[in-house]
Amino acid sequence: MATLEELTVEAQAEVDAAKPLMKNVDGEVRELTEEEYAQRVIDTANSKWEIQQFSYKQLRQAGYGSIADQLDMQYWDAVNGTTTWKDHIAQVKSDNPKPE
Amino acid sequence: MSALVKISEQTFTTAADITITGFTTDYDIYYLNVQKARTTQGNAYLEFRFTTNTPSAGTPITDSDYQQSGYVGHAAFTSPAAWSSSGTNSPKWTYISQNNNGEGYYNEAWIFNPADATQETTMLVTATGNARSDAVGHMFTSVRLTQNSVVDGIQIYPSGGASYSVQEAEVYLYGLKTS
Repeated sequence: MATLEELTVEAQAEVDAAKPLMKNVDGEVRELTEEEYAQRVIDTANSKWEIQQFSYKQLRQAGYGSIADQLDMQYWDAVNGTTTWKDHIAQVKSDNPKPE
Repeated sequence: MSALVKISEQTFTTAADITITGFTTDYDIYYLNVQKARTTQGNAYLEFRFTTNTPSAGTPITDSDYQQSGYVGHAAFTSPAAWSSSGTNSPKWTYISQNNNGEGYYNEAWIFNPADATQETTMLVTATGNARSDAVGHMFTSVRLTQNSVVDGIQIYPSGGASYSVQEAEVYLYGLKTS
């Protein structure tokens, strides 16, 4: 996993490559100022950090399936003595690891 | 309470960020309607900052002085989720990732006390749109700016890569007097 400092270096390179970036204030279009470019680097790095650190939650949520489906798995596990639900949850967690 | 009065109507095209000003002491409450807001890349959502009139109109307030609580739902995911943040400087305007087809977002927002320097500014936002996985998503959120500043507008910009831009947006601003 990249550190925030490493992501900031990446973000700086991306912003430099994307220049010129324009902003639109009430219909008036102009290029970003140096200060605004610096803020863009910070925002881009923070966005990358957020995706890296937290996107696994959304992926896990989607992978778990509905509560109804999970309860159904648990019911049949109890009836049949299987471990389908536990294995499913473990697989989703393993496929979408929490960042270190 | 008086009727809503239309203040401005603007169509924005490709820009790294867009800013809408026009909050003044003329009205007590502002209603902002944003339609067909699209980003140049899919799988991005929109963030925002309030702007102030110092040193010039439309200057974004980038301090980490925003609190936000919200609730987001998505037809392709099974469990709608609540989220919150405090001390952020990039609150969410649409916390639903846009579909790659880019149909755009639809938002409405009520902004309270923006131009009153003696009170904090608060805002309620509702968003909907075709989100990633080609499924409808929604977001309800409240935002509080924890500093007493004159807020003269709002800046909206996409999350994600440095080259992400707002491709298009139609913005309608209305004012409302409470007396």
